[in-house]
Amino acid sequence: MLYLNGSLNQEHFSLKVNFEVARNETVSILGPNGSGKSTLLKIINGLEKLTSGQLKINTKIMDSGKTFVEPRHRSVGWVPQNQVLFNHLTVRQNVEFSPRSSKEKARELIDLFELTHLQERKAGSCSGGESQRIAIARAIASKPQILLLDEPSTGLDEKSKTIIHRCLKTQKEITTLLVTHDPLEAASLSEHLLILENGRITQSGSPNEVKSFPATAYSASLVELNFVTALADGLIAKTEKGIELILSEPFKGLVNIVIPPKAIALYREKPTGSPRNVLQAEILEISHTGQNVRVNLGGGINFMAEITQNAFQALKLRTGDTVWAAFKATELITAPE
Amino acid sequence: MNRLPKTVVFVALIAILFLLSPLVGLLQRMPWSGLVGLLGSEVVLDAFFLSLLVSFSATLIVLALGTPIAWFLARARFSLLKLLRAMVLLPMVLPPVVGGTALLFAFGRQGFLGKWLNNWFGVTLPFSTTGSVLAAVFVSMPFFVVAVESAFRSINEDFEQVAETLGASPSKIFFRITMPRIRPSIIAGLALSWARALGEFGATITFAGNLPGETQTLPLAVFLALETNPEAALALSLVMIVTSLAILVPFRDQWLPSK
Repeated sequence: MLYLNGSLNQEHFSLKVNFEVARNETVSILGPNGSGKSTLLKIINGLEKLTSGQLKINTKIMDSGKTFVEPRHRSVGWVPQNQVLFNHLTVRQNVEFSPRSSKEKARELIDLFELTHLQERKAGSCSGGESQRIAIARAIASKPQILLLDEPSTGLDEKSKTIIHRCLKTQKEITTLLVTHDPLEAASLSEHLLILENGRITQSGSPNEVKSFPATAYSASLVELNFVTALADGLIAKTEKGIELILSEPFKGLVNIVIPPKAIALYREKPTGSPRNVLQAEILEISHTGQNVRVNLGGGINFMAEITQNAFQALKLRTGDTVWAAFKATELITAPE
Repeated sequence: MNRLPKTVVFVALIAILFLLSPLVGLLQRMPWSGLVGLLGSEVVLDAFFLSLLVSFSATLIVLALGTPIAWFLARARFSLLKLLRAMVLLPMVLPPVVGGTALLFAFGRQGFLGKWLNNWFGVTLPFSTTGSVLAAVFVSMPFFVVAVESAFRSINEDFEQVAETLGASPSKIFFRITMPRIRPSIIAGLALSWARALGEFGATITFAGNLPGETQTLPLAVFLALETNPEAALALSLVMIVTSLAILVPFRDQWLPSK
């Protein structure tokens, strides 16, 4: 069990969070660069000290105004972003490094992470994917109460990624915090997501909740949805830049509006008729995703439309063109801010 | 290899010739026919073995004492650190005679530490082999500290932090992670300080004197022989050159903490 309610104030950055991770649960932390994800992990492993508040691991207070438990006494396994292998030692010596490890535990993990054929090699001679597997095995071998993984699969080839994901799924009895950029990884490895932006948790929920009701523009971008904040008065909501959107039900005050990209239709000429939102926009970028085509649009709102290949070819769209985007009010997901 | 500008090559050649010319001077006057006899003489053998003993003892002490100093200078954070570093490195720029004089006033029979050592333990450092080692440690330690401090400073703290989270004790981290990572710099520092200890003259003659068999190392023997027996001086010089090359050439790659 991990409980953290506290803050860290640094010269140019402050972090203030309050969350819990239940025993044997895996929680993913997603957030843009510089949001404080790695710093958050360092608070938990003791490389950073809380300015105020409290950190508890399995009911033991690790960091508070009065107590501070040194990193080496915390039993927190940490896999930093750049692995940090002890290159002068062999793969096996790396995995056996922790005094809390044992030869049997190390061997078991070396086999599990498919490192058996490398175990007598110097760690410095291993590839990126192998290095990441060694670093994770080394952390798990130290029998941690909490396992911290900082972007474990960023920049790795598919094969290494698959091995790592498969291995992590077998380690269900370890309470894990996983920092990642990849929403798919988060959804496949964890039951709960925390969205961290600018040192604050902006959303907390299951992958499904975050997917269905993104609370911020960042959450929406993760699941590739469009996100706007607007001031609603009845059925009309006005964005900061003065664009008016028609809602399906009345609201008063600031609202978050999610526009699914597939709900947007594009036209060369301004469409007439049915009560729906129609905006003029410029095509900023076009990308192909197999079946569909994603069109990034700029104008009053920056948003992305996903249309079929057929529609794309019929419209003969090109970057820089001006088009009309239309979507029904009923397709919008609206929630008060 | 990249093509070098001709001027650079030219200047480099001149510089190399300059550095080699004294060596040529020595070799050209070397009494090759009587060399075996000279090398086997008591003075030369005594000085040779004493030099090895003094320089290697000094280097071992430098390793044991210089590593903690380098670590401390690299990691400590306080306002007078710059001054402290300058003090530690002072023997590197101080004329060795001044160093020897200072040692005499500290560890000499009347020195503030020497008096105490003498009264309480009956230990007399000046004009003894131990005194020669002390002088050699004093002048050569900074060379080691400079090389190793910069290595401690340049290694990424991540490695030590990961080891810490794995539960390793500070001493395990130091000996199994930090030290192996800076091994090339330690070897380079040892080679530099050993070379300095071997060539040490000024502080030794001031503090330890020039007693054959006790404090008369090779450089001191060369200096003395030059007055009375120039051929012996040449032979002694040859011994120094060969000894230095034999130790330094194998460390060619680690000679300077470059990569």
